[in-house]
Amino acid sequence: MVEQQEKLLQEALGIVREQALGMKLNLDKGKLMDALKQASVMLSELRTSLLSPKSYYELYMAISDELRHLELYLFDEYKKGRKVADLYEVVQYFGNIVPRLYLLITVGLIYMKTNPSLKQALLRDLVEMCRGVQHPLRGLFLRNYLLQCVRNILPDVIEPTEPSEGTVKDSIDFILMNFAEMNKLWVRMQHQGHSRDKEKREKEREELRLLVGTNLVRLSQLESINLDKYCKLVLPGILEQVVSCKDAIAQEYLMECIIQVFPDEFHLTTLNPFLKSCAELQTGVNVKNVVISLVDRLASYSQNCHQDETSTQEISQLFDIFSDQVSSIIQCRTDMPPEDIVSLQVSLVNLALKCYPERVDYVDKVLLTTSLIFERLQLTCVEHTSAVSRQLNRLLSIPVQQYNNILTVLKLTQFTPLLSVFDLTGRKAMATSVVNNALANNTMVPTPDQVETILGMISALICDQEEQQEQDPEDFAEEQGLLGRFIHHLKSEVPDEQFLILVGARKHFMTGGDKRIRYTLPPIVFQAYQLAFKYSQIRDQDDMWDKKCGKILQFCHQTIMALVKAEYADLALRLFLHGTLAIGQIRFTNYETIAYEFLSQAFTLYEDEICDSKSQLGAITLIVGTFERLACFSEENSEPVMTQCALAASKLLKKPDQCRGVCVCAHLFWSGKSQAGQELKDGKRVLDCLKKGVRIAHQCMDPSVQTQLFVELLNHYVYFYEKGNALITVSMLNQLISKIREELPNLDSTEETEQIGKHLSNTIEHLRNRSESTEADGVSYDGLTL
Amino acid sequence: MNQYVNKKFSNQYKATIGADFLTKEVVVDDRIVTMQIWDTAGQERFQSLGVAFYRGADCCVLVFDVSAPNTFKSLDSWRDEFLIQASPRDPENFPFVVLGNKLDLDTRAVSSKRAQQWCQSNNNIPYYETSAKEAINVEQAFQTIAKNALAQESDTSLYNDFPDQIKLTGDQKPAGGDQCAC
Amino acid sequence: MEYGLNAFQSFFGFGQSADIEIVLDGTENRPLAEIKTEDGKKERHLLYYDGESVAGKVNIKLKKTGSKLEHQGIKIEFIGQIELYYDRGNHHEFTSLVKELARPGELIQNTIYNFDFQNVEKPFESYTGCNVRLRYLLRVTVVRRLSDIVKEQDIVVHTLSSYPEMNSSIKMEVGIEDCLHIEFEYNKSKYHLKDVIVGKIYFLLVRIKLKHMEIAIIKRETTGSGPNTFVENDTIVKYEIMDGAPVRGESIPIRVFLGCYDLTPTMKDINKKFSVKYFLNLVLMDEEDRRYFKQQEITLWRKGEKSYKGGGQSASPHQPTHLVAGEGGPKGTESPRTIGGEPTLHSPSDLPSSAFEDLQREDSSPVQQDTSPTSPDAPETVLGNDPPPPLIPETKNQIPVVDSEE
Repeated sequence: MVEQQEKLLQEALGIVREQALGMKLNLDKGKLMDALKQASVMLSELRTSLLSPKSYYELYMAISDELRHLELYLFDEYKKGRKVADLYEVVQYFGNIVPRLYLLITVGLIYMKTNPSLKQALLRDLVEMCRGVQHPLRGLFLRNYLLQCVRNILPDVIEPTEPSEGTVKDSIDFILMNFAEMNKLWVRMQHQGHSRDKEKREKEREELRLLVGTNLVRLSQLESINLDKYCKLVLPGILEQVVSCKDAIAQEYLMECIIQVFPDEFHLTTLNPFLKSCAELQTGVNVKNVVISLVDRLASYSQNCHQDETSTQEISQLFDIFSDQVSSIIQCRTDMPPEDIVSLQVSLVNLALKCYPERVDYVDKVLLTTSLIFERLQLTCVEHTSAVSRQLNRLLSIPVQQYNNILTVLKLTQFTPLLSVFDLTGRKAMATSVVNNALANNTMVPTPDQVETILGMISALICDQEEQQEQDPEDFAEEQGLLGRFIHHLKSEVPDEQFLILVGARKHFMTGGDKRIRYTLPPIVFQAYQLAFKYSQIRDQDDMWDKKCGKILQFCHQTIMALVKAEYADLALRLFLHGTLAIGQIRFTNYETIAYEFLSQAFTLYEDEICDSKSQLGAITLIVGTFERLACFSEENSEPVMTQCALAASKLLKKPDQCRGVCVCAHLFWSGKSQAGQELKDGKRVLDCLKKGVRIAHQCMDPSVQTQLFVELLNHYVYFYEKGNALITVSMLNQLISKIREELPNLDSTEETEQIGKHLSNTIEHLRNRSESTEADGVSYDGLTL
Repeated sequence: MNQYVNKKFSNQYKATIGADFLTKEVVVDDRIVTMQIWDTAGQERFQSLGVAFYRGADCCVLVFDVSAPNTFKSLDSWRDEFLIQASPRDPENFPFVVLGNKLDLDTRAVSSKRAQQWCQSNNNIPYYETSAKEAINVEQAFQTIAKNALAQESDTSLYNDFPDQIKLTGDQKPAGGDQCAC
Repeated sequence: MEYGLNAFQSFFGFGQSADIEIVLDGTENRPLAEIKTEDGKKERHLLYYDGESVAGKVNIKLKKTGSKLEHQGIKIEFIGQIELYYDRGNHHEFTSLVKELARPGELIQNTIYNFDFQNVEKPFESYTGCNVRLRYLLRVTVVRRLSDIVKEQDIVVHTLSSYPEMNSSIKMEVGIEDCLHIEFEYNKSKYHLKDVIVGKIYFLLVRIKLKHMEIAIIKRETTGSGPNTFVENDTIVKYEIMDGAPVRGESIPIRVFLGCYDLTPTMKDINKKFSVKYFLNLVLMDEEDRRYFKQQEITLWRKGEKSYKGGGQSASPHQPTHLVAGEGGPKGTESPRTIGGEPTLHSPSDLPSSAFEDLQREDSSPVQQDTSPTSPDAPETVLGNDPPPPLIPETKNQIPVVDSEE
């Protein structure tokens, strides 16, 4: 097929070259009639019906090149005053219409150049005579040739210098007439031929559209078409043709063409008629594309030329006009798919954002309109994968990204209502992008009201929705983790406000159910602790700081209790311990009682909720660690805690855990602090603990574990020995070392054993270093047997 | 282009769809030649009928906007596209001329040096910085274009008795950039 | 003819003793006109109009100086005659004037005689056709006892007409029911020989796929009478006026310059011997190469050369008269001029195929003789009730017809 075309084309081009050469030779000899005959033979190649539009175009280009030689020759000949009228008649003797009309146009051009007073009449004549070619392809190219020829001689003045030379009005009439005829031919192609060739035909039509559009280009090149003429003559003429041709392909292309070829200044003034016509286009026309490209052009235009006063006024009306016209287009075109409706709204939002960045209300208006449309269409839940959903996502994402500040987004009262149209996935996606934007820009949400709004906006992430959804646990964790990070952005510089924020936020997050609060409540608690510190810092400025801290801690207590209730004991325990530490540092009224409450809550959790031995050991370690750092308890309160800890440790189920537990407790009695901050340094109770540890270790059945425990015990002994616990002696160390050395060789050679050996040798190494060190800090290792 | 041929410049943005040409008579080495200058849409979607007008061109003028770096970046693809479509006999030595237009804007974003480097690395393409608006360098640039085109043309002309015609094509910026009113 | 006569004489062996030369007055200024000879060659002769005097000199040159030429008288005749080729022996002379140049006597030297046919009536135009020839000639005869010396000289006569008083346009609606309805209009019914036919075709209904449309100018020469009538149709030119398939509402312009074709004025019943008529044949071809046509007679007339050059009608010498007037066809997609509304559709069964058809298929009988329906009001007729002119019905399974025009 392609080869066949190429062959046909090359044959035709060959004839063209041959005839053109003959024509030029004859012209050189002054044999005009012979030259014209050859030109007509050459032009007869354009009578073919076998070429595709593209091949025909190539042939046409080659021929019109040759015709320009003829044109130049004729112009040289006839500008000296020879009478063109006869020539104009002579070329009409040719019997075949296609070559005849090409020659008529060529000679007509010379006629008009040499006799400007005939322009008016000749233009009319040429455009009229071309009616004889009704074959779409041939007619389109013929008329394109006409357009090409007249481009430099079209009258382009408002007042004629000589009456019959014509004015721009004549040029407009001429082009509009030619345009109408070309458009008819082009549209007609659609209805010719077999229906099975529809696709091919439409492709060919798409290829040929350029020829039709060139009419509009010519119009746009007429410089005396001012705004007034454009509004009154040009645009109505074009639109009438476009609308009445009732052909979707033509309408879509031509509307786009109008937008492209005429200047923005014109578009600004003619928005109403243009958009009105959009509403009248055929069902198949993608009106949205047309409107969008106009909006886009005007939006960037208005961005670029704000200084100009006249246009400022027009630009100020731009939004209202578009908004009205778009809504009437939507009303007229009942067939318009919802995604197209939304993408029109997208273009409006773009317009509003580009032209009036400060007018949040415009964007809000668009969102409201969109909501109403959805209501009217009774679309209550758009599926995430649907086209509508994608467009809606664009619509809402644009303000998020353009403002790049969620606080501005929060001013859009219609944002959240419109969100409800999405299905759950859609809502989540949108909420996620809002949250991500805040995180990326480190935007803080500073007032309780704003917090309230934004949490409403992203509620799809916060709590269960009517629709249920299976979610991958990892995705869920990621999503909730994001929320957790976001909570740190709910922050006011004013402490009282911050408290209200936290209270409000908790209310929202509490609704999230057991699965979510694990991620969302801890950040709230930490935020609250921070707030308490803040009050503590400003205690000079706020008389009520003390009470407020109490209230905050109460708030924390309740919050943590919610986690307890949801059986996140471990988490709650840690939060209580953190709270205890915070309280210990802030020291507001009655702090000891509250700290004790927190600590005892932690202890209760340990006792009631933490069951397996390993976790219990971990919890004990945490409690001990916390207590060690506290200095807020009187003896009355600290004694039971310490005793309870030691007791609890000794009650651990597994012997190794017991052993380790009591060792940890040993530290309570050494570095635990009084209210004055003094360390207890109760050497005896330390030793009691360690001894108990050794005893328990002896009870261990597994020799490997036992040996390991001894090594650990040795380390504890060494620690306290070096800390100056006088009750601990070198012989105790020797005893332990020898015990270990005794056991170690009996162990199976495993990785574990190796580790134990390493641990031991490291410890020995430490001791050796110490004992050899001359400047020992008061601790003597005399008698140590290594 | 309009500035060169008709001494007119318009600030209004009217996009080129398809291709259009103007003619201009120039004197090169005491010969009068007629230059046919084609102005083509940079956006391919507008060239629905293909680019038959590239064939037989004698010189190709690539115009970019010094205030729009993306137009400068397109030079490579424009050049390649032209060579593929026009398939000149000796693509290595086919005459190109590059114009950096819109010199009048104070938002220049492509430095003279950068443009020159590109031109040098592409077989020493002549480079001019122009302002169609203020008619800076336009005349000079087209003189060079005519000269180079003529040199190309005389190599290939089959019919030397007839006044020479030089075909030029000018590439235009793609979407996004605004008008290159040449 | 001169040559023929000499040949005849030499055949009989009589050497001419004198040469006769006819020199017409005003040879330098009088225009020449071209005319075909019987065998198709073109000759140029001096051109005369009706009522113009034909004057000049007759030179008789003796072959041998000093010899004598005895004669029974010398005369010159002005003859207008019609030759029918199938009846070669009989030349019908419709004009014959004789002037005596010399009484019987003797010529002893070269002699010049003046003659003058004053204000001669030349009622017909010189014509050479397929079967007939009308010529004017001057004949000088030196009457002798054995064989006369004869010399003939042709002239060409053009008959001029004044502007026709009535010259309405030709406008009518024709078609094939439910298939093709067109309205055509030629701006005049009478055209002078350098005239331009301007017109247009409106397509009122198109349900067949047309491919081309052309206008042919047909010359019909009728000779003889009764059973001996000979009719020759000659297509002078075919002129394509449309390429491609129009749709309803299109109007196609027609502009045909007559000046470049070989045409004569219409001649009606010339001396009861022959007629020459002209027809415009509008031919439409569809994609299956079927041809539909409608012939309309037009009258051709010869306009005075002087008034033509003086450009009586056109105000400015530069304003071409041959441009299509601006009225144009329907603009844009605005509906075409509807004439009498949309033709009523009839199913072939309830109306015999005579309802509307006026276009003829190419296989139909030769040109209709009637020229009647040229009234501009004709198209207003409600189609189907008052049938337009006759036509040859087209039957469904008729095979496309051989182009009888070729």
